[in-house]
Amino acid sequence: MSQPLIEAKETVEKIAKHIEQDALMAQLKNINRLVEQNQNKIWLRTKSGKPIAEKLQTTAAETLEKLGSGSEEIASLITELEDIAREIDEESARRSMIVT
Amino acid sequence: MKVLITGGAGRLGCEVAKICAHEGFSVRAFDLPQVNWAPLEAIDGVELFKGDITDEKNVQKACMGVDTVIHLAALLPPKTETNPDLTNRINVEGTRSLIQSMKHNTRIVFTSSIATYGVTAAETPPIKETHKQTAYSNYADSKIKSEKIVKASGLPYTVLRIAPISVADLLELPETVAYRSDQRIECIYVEDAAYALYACMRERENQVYNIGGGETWQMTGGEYIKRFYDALGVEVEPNYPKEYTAVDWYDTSRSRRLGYQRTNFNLFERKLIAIGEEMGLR
Repeated sequence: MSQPLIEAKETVEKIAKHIEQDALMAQLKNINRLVEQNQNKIWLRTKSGKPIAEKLQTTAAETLEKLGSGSEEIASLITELEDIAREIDEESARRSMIVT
Repeated sequence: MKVLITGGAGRLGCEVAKICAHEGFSVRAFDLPQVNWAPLEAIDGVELFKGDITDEKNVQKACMGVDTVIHLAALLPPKTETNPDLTNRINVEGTRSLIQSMKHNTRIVFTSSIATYGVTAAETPPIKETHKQTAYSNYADSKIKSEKIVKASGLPYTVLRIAPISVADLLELPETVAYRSDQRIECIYVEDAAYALYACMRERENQVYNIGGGETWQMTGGEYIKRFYDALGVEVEPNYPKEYTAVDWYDTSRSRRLGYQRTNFNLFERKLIAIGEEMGLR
């Protein structure tokens, strides 16, 4: 399991408790769905995978810290989080073992 | 001489393009605009043609001035198994459209699959090219139908029934492995499959070949997974299916003369070990 992804997921759950807008909640749910799908991926434990996992974790932590600030900044950080989660998911898909 | 490679931006397509360009062919790679073109852009002498195999006009334009077509474009499992209509449009109708757009005497090298033999675990291996074909899946069905279209086209053809392709890279295990642990399986290294496709362009007669890694790649599913991940330096807990699937050991004695079986399994393992070290897994 990727420890940064597990921590990112816990942080996203904490963020969700403070969010009221439906659109942002939907984004947070999507982020956690993608994290759950990918938390056991081997490549996230490699030299190239660790930095992106850590980036997700630090961005989640930053979002949690800035919850009291302007809503535009929070929306932007959540979008950034979702982009990182998507990037992780796309790389996992590229690395999937396909048997034809 | 100009060769069109459909599905040219995929892993196998890139390898074929590399070989063809290196051997002095003029290469046109045809693939969807949204795929990753970066690996092809790095190869000198490759023309990038961005289009859709389901669009007849795209296909007609892609075929202009071409002497040989290596047809790789296809929807692959698992997507084929949940999208039968799309599978038919891309794999079957795409092949038909391509053939209709090719000028007389243009050779087609068609990539079929060993999946077309169905589940053969109860039989005595190796499976020969003369074995009957069975539509075990949407994917296999689409390949069987496409083979028929190719053979009836009147164009010179080579059909390659390719075994599952192995790449020397860290691949993630699916939720359920595609074969049983005790099932006979044979894969082929991607560069060797690419060389087989290239070598077929020189064929003079219509042929159907099995393309597999050869004896060193013939093992059980459990052994393959263990050796693959041991070489990378990763511990895995694979989940195997209960049912046998359409992978087996194949008779490649006829295709061997193409000279493509260049990477034995020990060499493949050494490549994985190097990757495991580079990625910090070992």
